[in-house]
Amino acid sequence: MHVIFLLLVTLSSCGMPELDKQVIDSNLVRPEWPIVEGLYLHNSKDNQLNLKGSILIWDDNVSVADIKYLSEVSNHKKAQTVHYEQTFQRVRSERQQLAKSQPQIDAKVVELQKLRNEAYHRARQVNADEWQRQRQRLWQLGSEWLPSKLEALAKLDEDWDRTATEQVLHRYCQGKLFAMAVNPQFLQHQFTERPTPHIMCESYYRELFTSEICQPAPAGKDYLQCIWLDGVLVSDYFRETYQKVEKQRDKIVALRKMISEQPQQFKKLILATYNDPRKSRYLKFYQRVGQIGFGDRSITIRPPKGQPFILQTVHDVESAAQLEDLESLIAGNRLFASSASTTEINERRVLLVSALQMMAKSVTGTSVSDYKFNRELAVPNYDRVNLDLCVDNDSILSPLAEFACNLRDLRQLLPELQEVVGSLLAEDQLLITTVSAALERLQDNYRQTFDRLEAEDSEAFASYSQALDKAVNAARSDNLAQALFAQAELQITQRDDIYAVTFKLLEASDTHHVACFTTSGEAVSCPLVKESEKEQLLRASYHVEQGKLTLELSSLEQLGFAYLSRDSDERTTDRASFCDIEQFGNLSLEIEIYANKYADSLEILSGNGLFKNNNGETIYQASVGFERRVEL
Amino acid sequence: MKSLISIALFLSCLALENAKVLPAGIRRVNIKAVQVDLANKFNDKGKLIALAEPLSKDITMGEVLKGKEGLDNSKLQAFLQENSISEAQVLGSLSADLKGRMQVIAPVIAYGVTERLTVALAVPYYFARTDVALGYRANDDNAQNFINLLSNPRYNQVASAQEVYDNFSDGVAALNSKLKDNGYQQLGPWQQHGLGDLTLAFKSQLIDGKSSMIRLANLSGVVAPTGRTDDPDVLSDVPFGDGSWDLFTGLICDQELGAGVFTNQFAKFTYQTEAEREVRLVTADEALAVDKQSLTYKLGNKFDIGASVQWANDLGIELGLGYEFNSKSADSYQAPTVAIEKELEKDSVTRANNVELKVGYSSVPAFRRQEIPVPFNVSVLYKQVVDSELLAQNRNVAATKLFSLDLNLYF
Repeated sequence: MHVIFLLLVTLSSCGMPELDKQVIDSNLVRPEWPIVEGLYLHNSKDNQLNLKGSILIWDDNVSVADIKYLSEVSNHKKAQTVHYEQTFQRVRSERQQLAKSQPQIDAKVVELQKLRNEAYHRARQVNADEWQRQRQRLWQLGSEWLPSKLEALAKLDEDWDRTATEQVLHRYCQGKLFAMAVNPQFLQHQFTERPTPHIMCESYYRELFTSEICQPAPAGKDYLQCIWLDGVLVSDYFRETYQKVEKQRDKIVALRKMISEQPQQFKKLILATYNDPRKSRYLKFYQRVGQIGFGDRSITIRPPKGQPFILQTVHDVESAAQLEDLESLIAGNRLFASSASTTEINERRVLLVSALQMMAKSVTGTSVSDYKFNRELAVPNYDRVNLDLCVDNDSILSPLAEFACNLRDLRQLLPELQEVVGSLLAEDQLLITTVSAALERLQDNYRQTFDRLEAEDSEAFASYSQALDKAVNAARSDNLAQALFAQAELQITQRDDIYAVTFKLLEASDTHHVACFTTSGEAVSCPLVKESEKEQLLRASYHVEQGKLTLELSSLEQLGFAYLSRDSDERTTDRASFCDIEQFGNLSLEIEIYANKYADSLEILSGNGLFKNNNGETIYQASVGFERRVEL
Repeated sequence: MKSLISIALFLSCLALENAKVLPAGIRRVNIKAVQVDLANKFNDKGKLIALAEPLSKDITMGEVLKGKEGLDNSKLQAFLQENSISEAQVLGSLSADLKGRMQVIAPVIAYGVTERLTVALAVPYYFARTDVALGYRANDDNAQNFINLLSNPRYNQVASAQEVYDNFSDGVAALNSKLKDNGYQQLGPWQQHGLGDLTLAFKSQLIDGKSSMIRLANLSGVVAPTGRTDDPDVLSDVPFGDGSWDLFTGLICDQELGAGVFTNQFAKFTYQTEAEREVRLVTADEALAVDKQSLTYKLGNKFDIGASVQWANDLGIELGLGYEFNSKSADSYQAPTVAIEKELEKDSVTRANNVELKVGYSSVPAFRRQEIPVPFNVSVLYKQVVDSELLAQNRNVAATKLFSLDLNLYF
């Protein structure tokens, strides 16, 4: 027995069979929390971060394929947001660079005008009879061109509403009139005869400018009173805007009085304002006369006494009123009676479109059928370049010279006028051609760059819009989500050592919850929130190291958590949001979102939300994502 | 997870059998001292594998996925699909070595009730210890890619990425942490001693061999569940009993061939009764994060057969060589779900082929010659599970090499 026990003890002391050695081998790199200093507010000028986001409550039956697709399109949308923002900033920067090339173009225009005027002057001196003959012929052809075209249209269709067409064309002519009325070159020079704002409209202007102040002045004079008193103030626009109401009529009377009695002061008023770069602000220029201000879309004149009134700028009148009419004319809505045959309509349309395009091109250098027409017209520099008048050496601008300037453009469009322009001296023509070519290159380059930037901007925006639509449609697909609140807003503001978080669920809602935490992330009551709002409806805390923002929301229905129809027609805003859940009464929402930067550019806060009942049980799970609101 | 060590209890057929019984009134005290080392086992397919093989495995993305439920699972699946990550992708590989040593001392007291009936009681006492060494090798490319994708602002799951890093930079710590989280004892050294299942046996000689060269005996008895059963919280422990009452019966036949040589054949059937114990409710999908529950179960019945040739001379030298085949049918559990039952019953059919070699000395001939005052017997037995194409496949048994020292005293 002793032997056995001895043996056992011996065996036990032998210990264990030796284990094979095992190693632990890993070169994994631990992911770090993204560096988020002060919730990005340290870079913000106003210490305020505005975020836009969504809360998506998942459907219990959501498929893996649907989650995957939503993730893909959501990320694509983020990428397109970044791309659009970056494109917009780059385009804006390039536009600013492009604008710096404008003085060079302007200088070249001035140089060309000077050359041309000198050339015309020399040619006129060398061959005065020939120029006088050509002038009369051009004047006749130009002034008869529009009536002849209208006659041609009338012959094609007896039912054609000629009056309506003429009204539209007259408004166009009035627009040209406004352009000249505020044009510095017109205001600063003297003329022997009334200059024409546009030769194509001369037949109309002859009916308008019949008073004494518009008659020829061999000694030269400015035609400010003529153009303003007989033109601008009796135009359809002024009549419609200021003549109908007695109070408004008084303004016209006051203005008429100012122009009649103090024309030079009025001229100075316009010139000073026109040349002032701060167009959007009022300029207190001449206390005795009053104030005049140029906005982007209007000129405001403030007489020393009485109410201010607004004069629409040229491009505004043209784009807002006339171009709509012109385009509808092109579409054939007004001009053609329903009885006209298709062939006839097409013939007339071609004829009229040709005429309108020609007129438009004389202003803008582009075709009226191009959608960019509106945009280009809205660029003052283009307008100014094309509206610059020809200035003679002796500062006396003759109608002929101005007309010849118009013909620069017209003769390329009107074959019957090409032969009519008086010939210049050969060396002048060569020099003008060279400078013109240089100017054209500058302008072409300007336009091409401008077009390219426009196209890039539009393309980036279109891609962003498509991506957004795709993401919203994916989130709204069947069995994916029980609710989508697509217009949630989060605003984080820093004041001293306190962050204030404002949460708003619906864009159209006035209700929001506010909570505060310290820079070390600890929840505190908000010092600036009214007592009535301190109901602890939102509690917020922040984990500085992790960049984790925790929000605890109660009184969800106050915020707008409630049934929302999927049918977007029932609502006017926020068409993407919907909520199939009818009751949120006793639920609270706990949100944990983490700060990060998408593509090193877009500040985001994303994570999960849990809707819990009073027992702490999770009833719904949500994905929550916010992005810095991209201001464009 | 089921216990990593499940060895067939071997005391019931621990030595070369014979059909001899004690003379009436004679007592025998038998002390068995057994040692067995545990390192390998035969799996259900008959392949020899390390005991730790269930721990040595690749951790795939699919297994990460198994750890997620409901919406989280769907989200992760979508993430994997979106990034073209296969569920079979390996994130890291665990390696392990598990070895154990078990020593048993089993006093067996026998008494010749009549000339043809001997009663015996075996009281085994176990000393067992095991140890586990774990290793881990991260698949840096796959795991880092997974981590990087999660922490990318595109997904902004930095917290999850850090969790993945913690789990896959040191898989051993992660495994132990998971074990701890689920109520298991961490893997490491384990040792315990205690009483095994008691056996009460009755050997009744049917043919005494005096008138013929054949001896025939019936061996029947009962095994009481006095030994500790498998601890559901310890993966590397060794059970000292199976928890159920067992009834066994069998026939033992000797053929005397003369010159001290006899051959023996035996067949034994053991019926294991229904019992109840606490087990982990494992399934094929989840082996760790499962609850415990006390379940009713019935282990499979055992059937053992064997044959041997043994020789003894007048000097008392004893030699023996034998073959033994142990088998057990499938266990059956009454679990809450079929999936749990299936997993618990999996790999419970056992088969083992053993060869045995015994060398011993008996003083009984010398005692009969009155040359020695005390009749005793001492022998050494070596028994090994053998694998051969000629034999039935070993299944689900430890590949043991067992040494046993036997001392018998008669009085």
